[in-house]
Amino acid sequence: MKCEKALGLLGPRLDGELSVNRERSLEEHLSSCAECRHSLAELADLRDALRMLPRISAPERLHQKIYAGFQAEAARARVHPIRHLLHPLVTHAGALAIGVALALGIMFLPKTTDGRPESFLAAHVASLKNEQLTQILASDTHKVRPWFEGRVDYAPIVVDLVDDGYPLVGGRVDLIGRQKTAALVYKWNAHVINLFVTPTDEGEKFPVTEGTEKGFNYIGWRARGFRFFAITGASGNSLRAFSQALQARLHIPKPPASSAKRMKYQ
Amino acid sequence: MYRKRSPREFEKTMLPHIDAAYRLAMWLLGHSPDAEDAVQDSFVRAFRAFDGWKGVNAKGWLLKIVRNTCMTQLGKRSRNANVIHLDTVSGDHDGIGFSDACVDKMPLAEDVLIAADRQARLWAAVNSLPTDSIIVLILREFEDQSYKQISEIVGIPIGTVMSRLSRARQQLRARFLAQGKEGKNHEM
Ligand SMILES: [Zn+2]
Repeated sequence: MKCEKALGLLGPRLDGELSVNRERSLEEHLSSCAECRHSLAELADLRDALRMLPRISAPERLHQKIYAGFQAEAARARVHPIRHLLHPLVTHAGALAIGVALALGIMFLPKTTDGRPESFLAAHVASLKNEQLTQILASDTHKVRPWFEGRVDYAPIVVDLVDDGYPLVGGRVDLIGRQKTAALVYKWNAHVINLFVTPTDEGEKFPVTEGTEKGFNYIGWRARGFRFFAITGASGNSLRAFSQALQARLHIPKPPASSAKRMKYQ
Repeated sequence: MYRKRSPREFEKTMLPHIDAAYRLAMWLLGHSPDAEDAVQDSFVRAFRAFDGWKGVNAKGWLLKIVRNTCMTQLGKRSRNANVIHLDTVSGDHDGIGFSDACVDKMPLAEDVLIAADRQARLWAAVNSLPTDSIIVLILREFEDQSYKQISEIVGIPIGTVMSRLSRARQQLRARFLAQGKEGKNHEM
């Protein structure tokens, strides 16, 4: 073998891509040619240096955007399996809406992965803008709760609040930080209330947080091993009433089924 | 439209490769919002084409889509810049900054600085290669793809993979060494 040919095989040899025969004849050449051995060592150094370069990872916001986009696509595939064939325009409009929502949502996205108000706010805004308000559409807590099984790695508390004037609309899974989080959707008049339910350890402290950000009101508290975080475009007072109703239900047994039909006017 | 493959499977096989997809896009499009858009776009495409995945080398399948999306983007750029041949775009894109990626994570010890300087020079050398060379090189060295897998991702014969890779390494070696010689007054 000539040096010229041997040099061309050095790379493939490092990459483990040589046939047995070629490898054998290359080794033969290397054993008698110091120059090609030197080139091989140089090439190996270069490869090692390359592999030691720091690996970039994608920014957190890109992870979140892709995950949200994936969920939207997945929901569409589940709910409207033949929509692509029937209404391409609708689908495109939907994709556009999601794009706009994500563009808006990303402005609020947090830098860290903890559950600060901004992360919930971003999820709330995204849920309003795209068609992803609910992934399961059901007012029955016994349907919504099991739906989360296998989708988040805990069983969220799902409370029926229809008697208090807050009918359950459904649920969905949001990515808060990198944590898959159960989101429950309630209605109050024309307003949507997103309620995020995440498990907490006994030791973790979440003081009641309440506030307004970008025109949305939020309130967060901790009860029965969960952190609750509610956010809405409705007024702060009505959100507080929602949270009080929910806390009351968390601490008293459910009323008998017959009273569930009673409408409540206030 | 019946789907053979479930969203859950997509989540398990494709979503773990967001970082790899981003790395490829960054090397091809530079440190710009375009790279993020391209990755996001690629995942939407991948999801819609997911039934066509043969079930092997998930990362490679995804990177092929990322690569195609980025090349389309580069094509647009070159048209905007009134450049006709794609090849001439190579090497003069914004590039990905070594410092963006890692410098703030590095402790400031002398020998670490020297190592960092060497890495920065290598980074710059890779970045100065033509796009064709960058693709094969990073698929091989950073994403651990075989020649056959690279040939599928880039859509070229295995022999071409081999010659491009060989050329890329020669270019890299030449540029890396050249930079090393003038590197005395190089600043981070
Ligand atoms: Zn030789």
